[in-house]
Amino acid sequence: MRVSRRSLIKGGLAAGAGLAIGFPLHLGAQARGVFAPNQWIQIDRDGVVTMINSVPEMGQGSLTTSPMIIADELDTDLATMKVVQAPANPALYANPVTKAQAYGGSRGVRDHIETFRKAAAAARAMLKQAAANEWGVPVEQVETELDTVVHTPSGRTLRYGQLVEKAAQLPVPQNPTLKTPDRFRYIGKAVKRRDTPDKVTGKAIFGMDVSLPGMLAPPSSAAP
Amino acid sequence: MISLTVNGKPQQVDVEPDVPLLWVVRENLALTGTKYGCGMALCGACTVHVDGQAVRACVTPVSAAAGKTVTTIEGLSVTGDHPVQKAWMDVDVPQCGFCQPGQIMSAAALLAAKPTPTDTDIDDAMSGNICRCGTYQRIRAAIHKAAAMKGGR
Repeated sequence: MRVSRRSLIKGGLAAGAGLAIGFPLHLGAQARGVFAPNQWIQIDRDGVVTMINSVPEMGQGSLTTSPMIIADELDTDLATMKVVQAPANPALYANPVTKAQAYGGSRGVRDHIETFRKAAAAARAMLKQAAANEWGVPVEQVETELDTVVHTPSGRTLRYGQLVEKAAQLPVPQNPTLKTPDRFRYIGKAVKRRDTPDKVTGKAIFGMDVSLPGMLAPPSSAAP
Repeated sequence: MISLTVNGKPQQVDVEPDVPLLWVVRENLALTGTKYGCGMALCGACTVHVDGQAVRACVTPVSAAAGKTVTTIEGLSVTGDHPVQKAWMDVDVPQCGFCQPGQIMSAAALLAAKPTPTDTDIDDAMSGNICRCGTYQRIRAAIHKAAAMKGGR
């Protein structure tokens, strides 16, 4: 499926009607060798999981909490997961509850946890199905274990990275089964913040640190 | 032309002598780790070291740093492994992080002068650095931790 402006608008309406699972993307860089079941998750052939995080980090910890949610439901290693900030694009990245790409009021986790869990659970279900197809076994016999699909009866395994092409061809399930909280590895536990290293070395870029080509900074000159 | 050393590098900047050091660091030298907060030495976000002393760069004219050695957050350590930075990471001190470069520079100057500060020493030395997120308890814990690291404990 190619994402046109029209399909995004239609998709946006579908999301508004409660189908908040997202839209499969096949745009630019992620076209080949990348499994992108929706606008928040990308897995490449090397098995690198990238979250496109639509909740901006403003000190509330969203750069850390959003990937925790994805990592738990996708069954991926939080330590090796990459996180990038989503671009301004309300059609894809608006808050699923407020419908605006605007943030505040401690709404990050509260408003996104269900959407993120479903998005990651859908990705995990597709990876399981892709592995089951590869092995010619019923999907009920396969499980996941940290970036790996396991065929429980035989012990065979396939890494997520080995399944990206096959998984990308499968339909996105709209009602994937969510994990029970007792299977969470990260949610509910203290996790080191991802933004701390940049914030203690001066590398973190704040609004006033942005520099654009040809940009001038005007100082005021007060009368003596 | 004013000459000064910033983070170990000799620099020459073509600015008026009364331009605040903060502006030279951020605009002329593109070191944006040091923050502009209040512009009146009330908040501490712009704290840098001049010849090892913590100063508020927003009210320090660049002429006062001529011929001297300036250290900013980017120059505190090469790889972010100054004991204060390591302790800050261990304790996960920052929230929004805007004031933290200033907090860290004040803390580093405190520890250079007093290797094992008491809570009172910390409160006295850090009272000029304001944090709107309210990370003060973790700042204090991290300073004690950095002191322990420096002392090899």
